[in-house]
Amino acid sequence: MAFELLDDKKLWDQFVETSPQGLLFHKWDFLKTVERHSRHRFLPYCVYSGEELRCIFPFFIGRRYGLTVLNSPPPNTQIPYLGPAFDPSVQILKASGREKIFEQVTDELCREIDTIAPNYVSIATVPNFLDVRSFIWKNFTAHLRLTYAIDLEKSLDEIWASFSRNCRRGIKNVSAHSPEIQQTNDVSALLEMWRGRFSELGAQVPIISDSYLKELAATFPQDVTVYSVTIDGRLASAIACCILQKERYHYWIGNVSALEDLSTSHYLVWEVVRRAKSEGFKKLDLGAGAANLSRYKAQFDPVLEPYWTLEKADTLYKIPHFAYSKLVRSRLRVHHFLRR
Amino acid sequence: MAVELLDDKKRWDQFVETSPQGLLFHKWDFLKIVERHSKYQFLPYGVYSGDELRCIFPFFFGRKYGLTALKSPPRNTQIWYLGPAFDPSVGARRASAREKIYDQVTEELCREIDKIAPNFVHFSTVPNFIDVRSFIWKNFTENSEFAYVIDLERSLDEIWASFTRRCRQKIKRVRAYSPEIQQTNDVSTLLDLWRGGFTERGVQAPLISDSYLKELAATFPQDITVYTLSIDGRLAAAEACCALQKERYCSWIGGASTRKDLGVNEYLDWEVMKRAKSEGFKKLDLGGGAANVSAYKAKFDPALELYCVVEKKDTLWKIGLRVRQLLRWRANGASSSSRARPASAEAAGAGANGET
Repeated sequence: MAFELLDDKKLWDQFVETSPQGLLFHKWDFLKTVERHSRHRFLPYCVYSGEELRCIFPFFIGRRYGLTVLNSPPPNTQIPYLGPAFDPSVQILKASGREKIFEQVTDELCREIDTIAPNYVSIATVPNFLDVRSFIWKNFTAHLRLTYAIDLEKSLDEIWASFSRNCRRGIKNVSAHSPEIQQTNDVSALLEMWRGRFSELGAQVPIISDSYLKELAATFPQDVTVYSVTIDGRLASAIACCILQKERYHYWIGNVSALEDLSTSHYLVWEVVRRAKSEGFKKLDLGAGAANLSRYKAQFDPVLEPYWTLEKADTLYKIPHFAYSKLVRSRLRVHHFLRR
Repeated sequence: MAVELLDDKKRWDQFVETSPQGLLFHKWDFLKIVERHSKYQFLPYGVYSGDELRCIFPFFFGRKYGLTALKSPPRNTQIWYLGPAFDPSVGARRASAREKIYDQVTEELCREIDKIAPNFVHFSTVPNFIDVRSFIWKNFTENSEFAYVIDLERSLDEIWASFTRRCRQKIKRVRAYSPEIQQTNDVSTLLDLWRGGFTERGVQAPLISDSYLKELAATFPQDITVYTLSIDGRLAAAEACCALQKERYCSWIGGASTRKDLGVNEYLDWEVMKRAKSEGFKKLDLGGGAANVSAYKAKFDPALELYCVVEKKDTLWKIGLRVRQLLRWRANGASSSSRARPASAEAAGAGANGET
């Protein structure tokens, strides 16, 4: 096997289209937009077996606290899943053949990583890509993450009935206010609303910049859509969704509500469910999150899908990272104390 | 919800029988045998919602180097999976209600754990039970493990065809020696053979004691079976298997052979698959293991199933671990033999119930 940089947009995107792990986030222009807006350089790695392209592995190299980091994806890009994408033929191999390829790819990658010698490496895989043992055996730390997905192959009646009673009541209540749903490619209103929510929490919005999201929405007008609910002409809730794959829709960024007394965000989920189903998607990925966010999403009776985050950090990286996390925690504590 | 010690064998076992997570390892007598042979006290926790028993959570309480530990399961018991088992109605609920129950059970258990205040808490879930977020949100750490599983619902021809070519060749080659397969409840020969494999690598077999396994085999004669393979009247390979659940069989302890020139282990595994299938089992659990063990098991084209190892260590326990590692490292350095550093029990295919 040979590890190379694949500087060929057409070949890269063709591979992404056919790979079972290939997502919108893997597309060349998406990753190039990340490169332009983050302070990371895009490394479009690929692995060949003879003439055959077996795997692509987008990485980003950058610096943090003066140290070298290799990420897939970089932080604050709103890319929850990236990591390796394999040729479909790999999936249908017998376990031993498939695992041999995983090991070879990991070996080659680790050799490349050793050449770069970064202080920190992080990878987030796509949902349902389970076998990361070859990384664990190379001393990566693996954390199992769970995302929520709604099965859109069920009938709308079944999906509706599966929502919790409270959730259904909230949606019905919003319906009585004649809400208006709009679809747009303009992310400005969404960003403003989203930023407001984070300010309330005393945290920074986890996105590189506004222009980054604006450029993504402009580059992928067919894939990125902002849905908003307006009641009596006032914006009540907004969410940016994207087409992750041909059959997988993603409830992506935002979902903030301006009205405390109405469940407009529940209403928006239900609207997106209906629209995604009518457009032929089979799954709606709601993403995961901390305890409070998970409780909110669980109301829609989604199934859990696992994915992984893989990390390897040297001591030089661990020390400032530990200090920084302590600092952030104490700042948050002070903020919460002052808000009381 | 309320947590109580459920000191009622009949009710406990009835619950285990019906729970989707209930395994042979969860059975009362199994856990009582663990208690007798390990230095741990069995704590049969039951979590109630009103009068209804919603969850059982077997824990073992013990001391090591003056520190206290709460484990499910304890080390070297050859119990791969334990942890919580829920009432079937919990799994059938909507996500929000199910997760609320998980949160409440975790809340109650953590309250109980706080009373005991152990230095270390450790539990392994059963395969496919991966929603341990309620524990993560209580500052537990999680490490996921993998088990290999053969789907026995396929035809024998399909299963055979899914093996690697080399694996099939090896099995065919053994067949030419007219091997004899026997089933027994006597674990003595298996233990001798198995221990030999560990001795060769310079490590101790990850088992509390021989009498522990003997008592298990005697108490569960219907569930635990030792398969042996002899060629020309001489023992070549042995393996203990157990019925984990009604539909899940487990290739449990073994993997040692006296004939390195022949694929006797592959032959024995194929025999176990055929017998388990004929007895109506739908899955054969091969367990997981380190890279070398996995490479062996992957030959049978199994699917992967996830399970979780959940832990919480206080600073004292962490310091103790560091000191132990240091002492072990120094001891190895002092011996300075050509022998490699001792492989872990996991590397030897013992399953992940270790102490980290």
